[in-house]
Amino acid sequence: MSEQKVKETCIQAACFFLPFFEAGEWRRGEKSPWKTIKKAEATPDALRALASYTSERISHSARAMEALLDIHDDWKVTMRKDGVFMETVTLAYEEILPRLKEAGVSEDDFQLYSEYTRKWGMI
Amino acid sequence: MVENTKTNGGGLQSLYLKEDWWAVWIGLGLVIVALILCAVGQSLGTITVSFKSYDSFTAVPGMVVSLLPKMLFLYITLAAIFSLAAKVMRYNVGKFLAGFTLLFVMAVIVQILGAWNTAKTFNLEAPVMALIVGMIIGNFVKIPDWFESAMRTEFYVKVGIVLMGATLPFTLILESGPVALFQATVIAVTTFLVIYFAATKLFGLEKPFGATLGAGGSICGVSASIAIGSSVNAKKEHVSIAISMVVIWATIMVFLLPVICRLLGLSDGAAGAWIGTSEFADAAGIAAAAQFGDGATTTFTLMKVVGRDIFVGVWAFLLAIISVTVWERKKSSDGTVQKPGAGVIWERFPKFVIGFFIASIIVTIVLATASPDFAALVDSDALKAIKNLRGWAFVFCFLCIGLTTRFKALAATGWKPFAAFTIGVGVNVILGFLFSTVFLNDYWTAVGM
Repeated sequence: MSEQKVKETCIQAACFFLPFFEAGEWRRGEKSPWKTIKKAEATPDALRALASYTSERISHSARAMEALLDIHDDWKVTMRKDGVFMETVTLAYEEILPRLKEAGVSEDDFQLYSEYTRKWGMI
Repeated sequence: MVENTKTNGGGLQSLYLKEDWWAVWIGLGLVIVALILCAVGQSLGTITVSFKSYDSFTAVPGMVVSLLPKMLFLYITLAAIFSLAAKVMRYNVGKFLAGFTLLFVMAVIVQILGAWNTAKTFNLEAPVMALIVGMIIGNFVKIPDWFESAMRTEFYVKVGIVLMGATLPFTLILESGPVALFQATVIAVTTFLVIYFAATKLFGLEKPFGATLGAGGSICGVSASIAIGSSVNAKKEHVSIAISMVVIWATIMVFLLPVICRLLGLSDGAAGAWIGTSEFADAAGIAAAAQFGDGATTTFTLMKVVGRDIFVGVWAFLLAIISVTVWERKKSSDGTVQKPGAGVIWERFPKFVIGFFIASIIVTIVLATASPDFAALVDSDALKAIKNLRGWAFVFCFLCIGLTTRFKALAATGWKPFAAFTIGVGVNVILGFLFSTVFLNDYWTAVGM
């Protein structure tokens, strides 16, 4: 099945979420320190560890954001309290992912949500 | 820009930006207005337009002239309502209104042609007439942009389904819903698994692709392919192919199933139940079932809307979990994973179904608590008008199906997905036939009477 032969009957919105408070722990059956914060012992060192974790996470998100902006210039960016959403309908995620990998962005640094809609008013 | 449900789909904005919710507001609004008018001694009769059967075309001019004022009122009412929705949903209202005007004129023409007794003897009533006229024009004439902007197939069918809720007693939905759910679930799960395993084990296609194909062939057509394709992060090419498969087979079935039903002399109720089980798309299914009248449309709706459509969110959630915990874990990391959450069940839930249920509940309560005289008035007046408006919404939808089914625009699918999907179609049609016309024939026949 050649890609050139396939006519598109849908529009893909590729949506990358760059989280501030987690690093793919859920995929490994683990929990982000922010998810276990209420059970953790409140000590100055625990707070410093949390600050260090968060700082690193947000810097990873910034790097992933830079990489996405280098790959493509048509993004709708939505800031949320727990991360940033970057969404595009003009480049498919299949083309973006290998280039993100080349740029050294780990899959722990983003979550991908693709969203499809009909290309024309079909049943 | 298409906006992701993650960034806006679940928010309050969706209440006025999504077609699904507008179908609810328009459908329920019309039902409530019809009931209020009935209560104050008025009616929607001024916008109730139906064409009587005729033998000779010489009868047409007289009929059209006598209906002209009502047609004008109907056009103004519908154009105003749909244009308001279009404006709020940020469509180009000028283009939409121009396109809707032409669509309305075409709807008038196909209904007049469908009322011709000679056409009826060839089973070419309004639904089929609309499909055929639409397909001929859509495939041989270049459709201008402004006309295209009014081709909101799903929007019209959803409005029609909400209006249909008002004509179905809620007690019937409660009574027949579980039977429809049982039949639909057994067949949908079987069909999904057949397509999925044929695609992945027999033909070696990727698992998300198999799931997207399976969903299209078993749950609710294009809507399911899109929902499941999104949930499992299927590739764009694969979703395109799944949509093409649904469209091709839905188009075949919209003509084939009614022919077989007539050849076998099935009851209206059984025919509607079979079409509801074995047709892939709501709009195409309504077009097929409408050829058999209200009884078939009722059993179709119970099977398709109550039995199948409302579970698309649950399917999306389950497959997202399977995608993340099973498929993606076994292959090398490529980042194509998302974090599944139960919120997807609501995100994917077809919201117009809420309108369908509420419309049914409102009318059922009114009829149960009203005096016998008022109940009779609601039945003969308000519900008659609602049925008529529903018929118009469906004719717009049937025309749009035809006008937008452009065979040249469908994806070149390759033989493997085609074969996998077609095997599923065979299983689905046979199981649907057995359940609707053998195991539960008497039940569906009685419901459709």
